[in-house]
Amino acid sequence: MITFDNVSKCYPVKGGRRTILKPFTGVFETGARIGIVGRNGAGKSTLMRLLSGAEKPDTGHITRYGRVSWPLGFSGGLHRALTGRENIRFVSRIYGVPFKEIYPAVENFADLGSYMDEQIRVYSSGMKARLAFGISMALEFDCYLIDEVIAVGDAKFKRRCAEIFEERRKYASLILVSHSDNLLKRFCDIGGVLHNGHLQFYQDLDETLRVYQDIIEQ
Amino acid sequence: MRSDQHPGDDFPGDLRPRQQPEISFAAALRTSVRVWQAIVLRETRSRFGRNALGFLWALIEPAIFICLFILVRILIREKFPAFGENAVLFFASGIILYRYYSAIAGRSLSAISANQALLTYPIVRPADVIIARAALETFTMLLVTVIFWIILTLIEEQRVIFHPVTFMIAMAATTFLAWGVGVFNAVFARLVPTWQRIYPLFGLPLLISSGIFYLPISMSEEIKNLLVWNPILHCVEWVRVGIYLDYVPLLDRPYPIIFGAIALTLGLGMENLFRREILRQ
Repeated sequence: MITFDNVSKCYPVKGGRRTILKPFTGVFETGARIGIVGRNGAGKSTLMRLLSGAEKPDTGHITRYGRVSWPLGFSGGLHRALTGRENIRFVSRIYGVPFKEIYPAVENFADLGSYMDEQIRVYSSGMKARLAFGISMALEFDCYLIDEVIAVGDAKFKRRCAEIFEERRKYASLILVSHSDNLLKRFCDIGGVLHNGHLQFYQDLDETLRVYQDIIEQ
Repeated sequence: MRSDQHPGDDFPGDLRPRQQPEISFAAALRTSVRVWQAIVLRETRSRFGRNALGFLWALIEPAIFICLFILVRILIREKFPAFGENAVLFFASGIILYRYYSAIAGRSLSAISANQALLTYPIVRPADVIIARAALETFTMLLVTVIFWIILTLIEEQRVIFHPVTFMIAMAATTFLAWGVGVFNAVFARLVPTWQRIYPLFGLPLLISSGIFYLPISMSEEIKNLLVWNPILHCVEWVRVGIYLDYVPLLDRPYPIIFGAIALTLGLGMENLFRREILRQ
């Protein structure tokens, strides 16, 4: 569970300030699977960084109950000059989990074969996504923040992601940012629309997508 | 420390949702130390490559410098009066300290950009990657410094360091200056990437004005008035006060410390103010 208490965020852009979030109070419930939609530049990625703790809010307070993943996105936390194995070792060190405990699960999920000992720079985007996912799945967070990245995987990868989140839905929450209606419908139960600094939740995903469709067509 | 940190970071692998988000100072410090260790280990790879040759190069580089200066000294004997009976000791004390400073301040330039991907993890802050890189470089260069002073002690017939405490204090002041400029460099170079090319241009003027190959106090007033602006000169002179029995330095002790403090404050201030730009991938 993550609670927002009067949280607001804006940042300077050329010729003024862009408001990402006007003072917002709300709860991201444990076990909820929330799909966040919004136009490009609405601040979805900033919202993810606020949720993860990488960025601090301008006002208000964010409280995290349980361990929240880093925002899994395209650029990821994988260092290009390190091999897959070295990246796993790095993450295991910073989160204080023994490498041996998580390695088999990551290897199994990422399915990289001999690429595990190659530098990340030679990986395809699908391989990077599998590795980053594998690492975060093995760390067993209480809340996963996912920024689009599922979309780069193939059908098999998407199926395995769906299986894992189904398995863990009792104790792990999922907050997913995506532009793909299919992906959102497959992974999420409820939705939130981020528009002009307002974050509005809807208990039904179809309703979320309808509201968002209206915004796009304005 | 980390006020906005994940509660329960200290209980990895534990699946139960934790209800009390309380972070003690000790837990936050343990997390920081873990993060620093991980980055230092990563940095060791890129600093020294995948073999021992890398560290050897860290030793060879200043050695080449010293040999070159001795050669120049032999060629233009008597042009530049050095202090004491042994020109090697005089040069070496200056050049080793200069390399110590410039290695830390210079390698910090790419501290953030070389570790950009790692800032994706919220428990890795920009300050952590700077601290880790500067710490590794400090440790490396301290080792290089110690090895050189052992060699100097062995080849010199008389005592090489007359005032060890002063010597240590001078080293500490140099370290502080190097870290201050290093933090500034790391943050500023991330915000203004051309700084990575501009800063090295100061290298030669700084090297020449640090009083390494000549006795600063013996220079003319005009030259001295220029030299005193270089904070490294003061560090070099401070170290020599520690080495020689009766050295007359061109030295203002607070200057390099104030210089370092201002650079550090500017660096940390920018890191706070432009956190968003720094984190952007």
